[in-house]
Amino acid sequence: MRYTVEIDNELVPVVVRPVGTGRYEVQIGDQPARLMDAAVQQDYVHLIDGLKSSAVQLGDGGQTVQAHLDGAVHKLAVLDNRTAQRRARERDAQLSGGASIIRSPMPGRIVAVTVSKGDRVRTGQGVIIVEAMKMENELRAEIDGLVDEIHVKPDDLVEGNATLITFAPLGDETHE
Amino acid sequence: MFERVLVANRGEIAVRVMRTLREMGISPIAIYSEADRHSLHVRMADQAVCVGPEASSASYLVIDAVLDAARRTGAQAIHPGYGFLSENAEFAKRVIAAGISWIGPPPAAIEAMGDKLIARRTVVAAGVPVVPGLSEPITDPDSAAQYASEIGFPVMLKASAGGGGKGMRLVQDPADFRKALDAAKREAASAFGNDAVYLEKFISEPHHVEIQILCDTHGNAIHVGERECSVQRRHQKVIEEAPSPFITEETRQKMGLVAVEAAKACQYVGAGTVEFLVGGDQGFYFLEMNTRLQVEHPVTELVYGVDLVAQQVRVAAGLPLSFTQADLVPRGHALECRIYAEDPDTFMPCPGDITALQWPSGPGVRVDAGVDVHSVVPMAYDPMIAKICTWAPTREHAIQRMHRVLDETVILGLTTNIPLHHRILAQPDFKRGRYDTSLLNGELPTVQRLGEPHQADAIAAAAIARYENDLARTSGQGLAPGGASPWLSQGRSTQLGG
Repeated sequence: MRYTVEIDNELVPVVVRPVGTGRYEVQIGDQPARLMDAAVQQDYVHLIDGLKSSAVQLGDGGQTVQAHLDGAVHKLAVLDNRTAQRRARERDAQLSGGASIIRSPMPGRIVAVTVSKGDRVRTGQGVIIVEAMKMENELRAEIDGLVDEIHVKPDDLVEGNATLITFAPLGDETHE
Repeated sequence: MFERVLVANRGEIAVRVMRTLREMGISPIAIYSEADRHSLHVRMADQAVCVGPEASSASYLVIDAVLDAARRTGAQAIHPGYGFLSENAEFAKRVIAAGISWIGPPPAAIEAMGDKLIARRTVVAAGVPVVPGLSEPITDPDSAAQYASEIGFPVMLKASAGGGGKGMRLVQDPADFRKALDAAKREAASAFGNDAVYLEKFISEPHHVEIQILCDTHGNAIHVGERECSVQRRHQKVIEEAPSPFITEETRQKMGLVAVEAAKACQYVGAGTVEFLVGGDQGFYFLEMNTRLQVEHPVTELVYGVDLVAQQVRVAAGLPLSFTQADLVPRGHALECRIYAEDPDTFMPCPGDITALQWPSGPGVRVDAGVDVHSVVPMAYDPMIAKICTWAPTREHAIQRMHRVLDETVILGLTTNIPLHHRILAQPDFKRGRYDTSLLNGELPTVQRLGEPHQADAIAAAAIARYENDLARTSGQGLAPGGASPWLSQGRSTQLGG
């Protein structure tokens, strides 16, 4: 079976072929195929690859799968071919984009917006304060730019990843 | 002794208190908000009462609802845990007036110590050293700014009713004073329903060291040593340890005696903690007294081999403490890492569902968790989901052990600060035991865990699991969420085991 794995913003082709009970041939990208024994128990996978033993705990992370392995958590998504093609197109569009967006990193409440539409902001300047779990967090502009649109107001409740403020890059005429 | 005790809290501390109640043969009673209906602390209890909707101001903080729960379940005593109503003197009075035993200090002591300004006056009268500052809440921002200039910046703004770093602001520059004051008042109002904020001088390169004290109703007042709590971010503790690697034996003895004096000054009963700022010269100043069990109490329990919750329950039942000052001899070293549902780089809270969970075990490990697998970590409450402690004969070993233990800890579905703990434990000043509360302002080393280079194994495991999942689906077998069918797993494990 062919899949595409998305990891660290890369799309990697993976082929899984069963070759007997609990034994698989796995080819990742252009690496040589490896023969490994695997026991799959719900979301827990034990791999024996030659002499190497790895225990991997998988967990649903929303859009991704989280894989815990010896103290490290890898975030990845196993995609079927159709989804992989869509992700490839989306990724290309994302990389060519110019404007910057501040998104809410978590569900929370807007405490204050400290800029207005049309304001010029510098990278690192605080622009909005979001409260979650009883702590206030100030979010900062990631580019030098102009405030293009403010999508929320104080006391709004927002979901994680909600668009809060969009910025337009500075045009050449603003560099005096 | 009591037969039934209500724990007026949630999360890991409710679970921790119930464990001791079980060991003492006492039946634990839980309260819960609608969001916590199936939480771990509710499942551990023999009886459970819903006290309101998700918002803590409409559930865990509603005195009438908690007292009603106690009446309905026949609770003979209430343990408040920490946070919520634990330092609310009005609640303590109402509990006592309802004929229920209060597992905490007398309301007068909570009032005296719970309000930082009154606390200051009380301990100054008992001869305890304090940091210079305003003795009244700020009413006029301009004259407060003037006073701040007189005692010299940096100054610290603190919520009068506060604790846990909420409503606290460090002001380095006079120009930032007004903005910081507004932010502190806002946070104080939303966290405590009281926006009173006061001001004090900031001691540079400070250590945060606290003394555990225990007092009974038979006139015994003792201390159970210190905890070093200088690993803080935004005044929230991250790692605590006992004993402190910084203070000298002489300072330890002096602080213990002073802490007992502070407790006696407010006729204290039960377990409490006296927090001190300690300067680089070992000079120490009273910060505040927490009239409740402390989050980080397990490191004391590990080093002294005592159960502080059991002592709280005994004292509330009118019994004397089970040991004397002379019985208390520290042994080895203990560390506690607070596991938060937050991003280790941005420190943003990350509420969510826990989809896979494995706690560490083996020698020298203690886990106090408020969640288990499939728990939901809601946005409405504190993001701390567990405390992981290690004990070892030496500090160096306790640190090594903690790395191992954190590697064994699997929490998936949400992001935790475990990677941050590895980086702190590997920081050279931390490893040497020579650090102050500025530790987390500096650079932390990059730490690679064993599994990090093995991305290919993670990819292979996820792809094989997906393949088995697809196979189970197409062959029409029942599908377990996110994995292979139980039927297939069972068959395979039988074959592998054979």
